[in-house]
This record gives sequence, structure tokens and C-alpha cells, in this order.
Amino acid sequence: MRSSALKFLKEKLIQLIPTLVGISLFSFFIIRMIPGDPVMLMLGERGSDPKVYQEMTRSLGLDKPVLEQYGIYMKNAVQGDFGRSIVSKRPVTDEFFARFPATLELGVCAMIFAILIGIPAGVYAAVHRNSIPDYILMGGSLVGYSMPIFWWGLILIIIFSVNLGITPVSGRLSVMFDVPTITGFMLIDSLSPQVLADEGLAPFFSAIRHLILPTIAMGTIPLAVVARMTRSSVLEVLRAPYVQTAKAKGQSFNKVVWKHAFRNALIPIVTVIGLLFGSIITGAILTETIFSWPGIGKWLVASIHARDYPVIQGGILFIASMVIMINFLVDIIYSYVNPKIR
Amino acid sequence: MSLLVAKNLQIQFQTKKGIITAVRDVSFTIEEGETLGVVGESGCGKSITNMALMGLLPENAIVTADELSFNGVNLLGISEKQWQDIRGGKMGMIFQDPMNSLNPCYTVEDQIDEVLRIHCPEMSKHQRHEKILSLLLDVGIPAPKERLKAYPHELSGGMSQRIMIAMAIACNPKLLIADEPTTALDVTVQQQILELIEKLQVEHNMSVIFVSHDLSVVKDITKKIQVMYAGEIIESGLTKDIIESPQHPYTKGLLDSIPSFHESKDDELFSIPGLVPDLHARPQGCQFEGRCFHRKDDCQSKWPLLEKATDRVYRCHYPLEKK
Repeated sequence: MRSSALKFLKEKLIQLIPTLVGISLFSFFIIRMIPGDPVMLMLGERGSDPKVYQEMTRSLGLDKPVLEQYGIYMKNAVQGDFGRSIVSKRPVTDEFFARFPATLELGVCAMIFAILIGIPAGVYAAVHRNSIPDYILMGGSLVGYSMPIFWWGLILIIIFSVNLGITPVSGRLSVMFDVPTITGFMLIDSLSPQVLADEGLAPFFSAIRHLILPTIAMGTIPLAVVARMTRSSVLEVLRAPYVQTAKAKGQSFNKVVWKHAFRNALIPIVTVIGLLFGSIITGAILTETIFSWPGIGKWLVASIHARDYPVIQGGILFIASMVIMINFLVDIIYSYVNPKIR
Repeated sequence: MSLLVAKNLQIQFQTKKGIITAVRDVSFTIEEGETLGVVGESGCGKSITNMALMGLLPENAIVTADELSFNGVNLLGISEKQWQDIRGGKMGMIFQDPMNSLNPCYTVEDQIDEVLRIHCPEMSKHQRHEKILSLLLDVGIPAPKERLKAYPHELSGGMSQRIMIAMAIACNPKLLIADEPTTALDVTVQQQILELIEKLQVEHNMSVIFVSHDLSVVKDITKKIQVMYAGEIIESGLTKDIIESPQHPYTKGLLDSIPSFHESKDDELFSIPGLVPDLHARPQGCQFEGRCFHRKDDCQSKWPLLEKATDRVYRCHYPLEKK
């Protein structure tokens, strides 16, 4: 078991290399094919003195042939140097890891929200198929799935922040608190001994209250998908002969559903959750914009507007690596859920 | 007292098109240690009857009977909790499709252990482990210790069915319902499973209901046979009598449909023409009339009642001559 897990890990890591090379190629050339010029954007149209322009282009290394630029980029990247942002002059790696925890924290919360509600709802709907609660749940999930995140986020803000005043409108933490960054995850950092000693649990609850609306906005579509997937998967499994066997053993109805049916229905659900998680990280941009969430989505879009080549290249590569790692984790979970591929 | 008594059992289903009667006027008894064969084509109500005995019919089923009792317990109107005590406890069941009847996510040990945990809560973990090993030996699993941690996909069909049997007999049931247990298996494995069921039946002094569509499978291991057609018993009696001189034309048809090894290849295999009638539109008279080679004019209008001869029962206006 152990050696096979190691082998699995090794195979996955080897597969990672061509994927990452492909992504680096893609992001590098695509961004250069988009019209627009970072130097021009920085200098502004009126200040475009040709001498300054050329000077700047050379200092950024953009005067060299594109293939050579790629060679230099890859040579540095292999050594862990992904260049500096043209705009902020800070290393891309630092910028990414300063923002990624915010996106991951929100993504994990949204996924937990989707799973904790979606799975019980789906199982309930499957067990009570064609009943009124089933129709309500499935109708609701269709609505949730079809709702544009942008609109839904604004509606949530209007109801809960503006009218009811229970949740904050934007950001990760109230300005009243100062939480030093340790892990970058607000829920964890706000529980550090120092913060607890200074300000108690208030920063932690503030972080939770800031998370509520973005989590709901981001988690609604995954919730709908998980609920529908769970329902159809459980329905299919409930017809399986082994469910009949479990009943014939004298097992109680709840155990038949959860221990026998759901355990098997989980196999396709885990796959879908993995895919959703990947798309949540990459699709964070809408939610992050509405709620002014300082994550990678906002950062990346700003860099695209500025044609900040190193940030775009590095950002895409990092995000791709994270998605691959999440999928890798899902594969491991999957092998535990499904004995057939162990 | 008989172990199982069914008197005038009727099973109906509430459907969108109205109520359909799947099984009607079914009466039989099973004594302790007795083996009853139930034979008939697909869709004759064999499985539904068994499901009713286990309380496993879907919610839209309506079961009525003058009497339906097992081991002195009236099965009509008992609670779900009481059903759970009977299922897997005093009554075990094995199914047609062993490869899909074991849960793919749990090991052999987990699945057998589950039955013991439900019905024998007083057993310790160690006792259960020992019991599972001895059960696996009983059902003829070689190297049982290594099989305990196996998952169903690592087992063959015959092996899976042996595990199913081990699960069904784990709590020493008084009645084992075997619903086409050999249909999905190779012929050689089929014979082994039949012998195993026969052996266990004697060792544990169980009663067995053995369902099959194949008379040749049932005839060697049962003492009594009942033939079902369109949800009715159309003939029942001692196995020997039924095989030697069937009285109902349907039984004769089933017997003639058994391919013989010695038949020359020019002889065409016999089959009964036509199909089982649609339960939504049952014929008014004899259910088999449309397919019967022995029918007379009034068969179509008059529903035949069960004729009782000496320990033979048949439902036919014009039974075949006794040989």
C-alpha cells in the first residue's frame, strides 16, 4: 500500500513537468499576442519620448527576440526566479504568495459551504424522490446554478449589508483590528497567541463575518452542482443490488442510505468536487471584485490591464500548479473512496 | 406448526395506471428443514413473493393475505423494526447477481461482520472475527484468512456467491431464500453452489426456498416444487411427481424446454410460444390459455380454481393425463 502510494506520487510529479512547461509556453506567448504594450501603458501616450521608450524596453528585456526572452524566463524560473512586476517592481513570487492565501481561504470556505449543504440536500432529495421537498430543492438548485455571481453578490450585499446591516460590505477584516500576517489565512492568523492576548476573539469573529457573503456568493454554483450530482448519484446507487442486500441483512434504513448507498455514491461526487474546486480558484475574480477581496483574481486582472508580463506569466503558472495540486489531492482522496483503484 | 404459512397471499402495486395485481391466490406452507422449489418464467411473481416474505417490497406495494406467518409471527402489519429483526436474523436471503450484491466499498470481513453486529450484539469483536473465519470455511472459501481483507472486485462470481451465502447463514436462519442463486454463474460453479446450499441446509436444519426458472436446477435439491405463472401457483406437489407426470400444460412446457445433452442437433429445442400476459390487462379466464396447446373453448372465460388431488394441486380445467 505504502510503496504503491509513493509510486503514484512519483508518477504524478513526473506528469506535472510537461503540463507546467506547456502552461508556461502558453501564458508566455498568448500574453504577447494580445495587442498593447506594457512600456507604452506605463509611460502614457503623451510621454512617449522614443528614447525613454527604447531605454525602458531594453531595461525590461523586451527588445530581445521573443524566443530568447522565453529562454531567459525559463532559465530563471527553473531557479525559482519568476521576475519582478513591471508595475510594483516586487518579485512575482512574493506578490502571489501574499494574495493566494486569501483566495484559498475563501475557496475552501465556499467549498465547505457547498458540500455541507449540497450533500445532505442531494441525499434527502434522492431518498424522497418526486416529493414536494425534492421539487423545491432541485428547483432551488437550478435557480442557484443559473444565477450570475455578479448579480447574486450584489443582491446579497443589498439584503444583508445594506438593509439588515448584519454583515460587512467588503474586505477581510474590520479596520479596527490589526492582525499580523503569519500564514496569510485570516481565520488562522486571527487566532495567533499574540492577537488573542491583545484583542481576544473579536478579530476572529470579524474575519468570519467578512467571509460569510463572499462564501455564499462563491459557493452557490458549486452547491447547486453538488446537490444535483449527489441526488442523481444516490438515486442510481439506491437501485443497486447491494443496497437490497443491505436491507436483507436487517440494516436500518438510515444505515442503508448512508453506509451503503452514500458511500458508493460518493465516488462520482468526489470527482465533481475536485473539478469544482479547480474552477473556484480560477473563477475567483468575480467574487473578489464585488467584495474587494484581496486575492489573486483581482491581482491578475489588474496585471492583465497593465500588460504586466511577468505577473501574468508567473500568476498563471502558480494558479495552474495549485489547481494541479488540488486535483492531485482529490486523486488521493478518490483512491481512498474507491477501493477498485487502490 | 409449520415454519412459514401463506394463505391466499395477494400482492398489488399502486401505479399511475391504477392498481395492478402481481400475485394472487398464493398459498403454501414450509415445514422446518424442508426445501421448496419455486419455478416459473421471468415476471411470474416468484421474486415478488419472496420480497413480500422479507418485507422488502417498495412502498407502493399492497400485501394482503388470510394468513402470512413465519416462525409463529404474523408478518402482516409488523413494524419496520420487527422486520429488521427478521431480515438477516431468522430469515436469510441470497440473490441472483452475486457480483453486484456485495457492496464494492467494503471488505468481505466488514460485510459479514455487519450482519453479526446487527443480530448478535452480545458477541465480542474477537468472537465475531472467529465466527467469520468459520463461516468462510463452511462455505468452502480456500485460505479464508487472506480473503477477509479482500474487496468484492477481487472475487470471482462463485466466490462472491459463497460470501453472500456466508452472510445469509451467519445468524443461523430458520429459512434461507435463494432467489435464482446460480443463474449468473458458470455451469460448473452452479453445481458447486447447489451442493453447498444442500450441505448447509442439512447441517443447519434450515428450510430453503429455492427459486429458479430452470426446473433441471431445482429438481435435484428440492422435495416439493411449486410452479408459478402470471402471479399464480398453477401446480405444486412433490418434486418427483411433478417431474414424472406434470398435470398442467405449462409445467409440461417447462419440462420440455430443458435442453437435453443427448438430443441430436437436428431436433429443434422446444419453447413455449407467446409471452406472459400483461398484468395491466389480465385475461378473464385461465392465465395460460393464450399459450396453451391443450386449451378448450371455456378456458378463456372461466378462471380455473386450484384443484386438489392427493398432495397434488393444479389450476387447470383440463389437466393432462397421469402417466
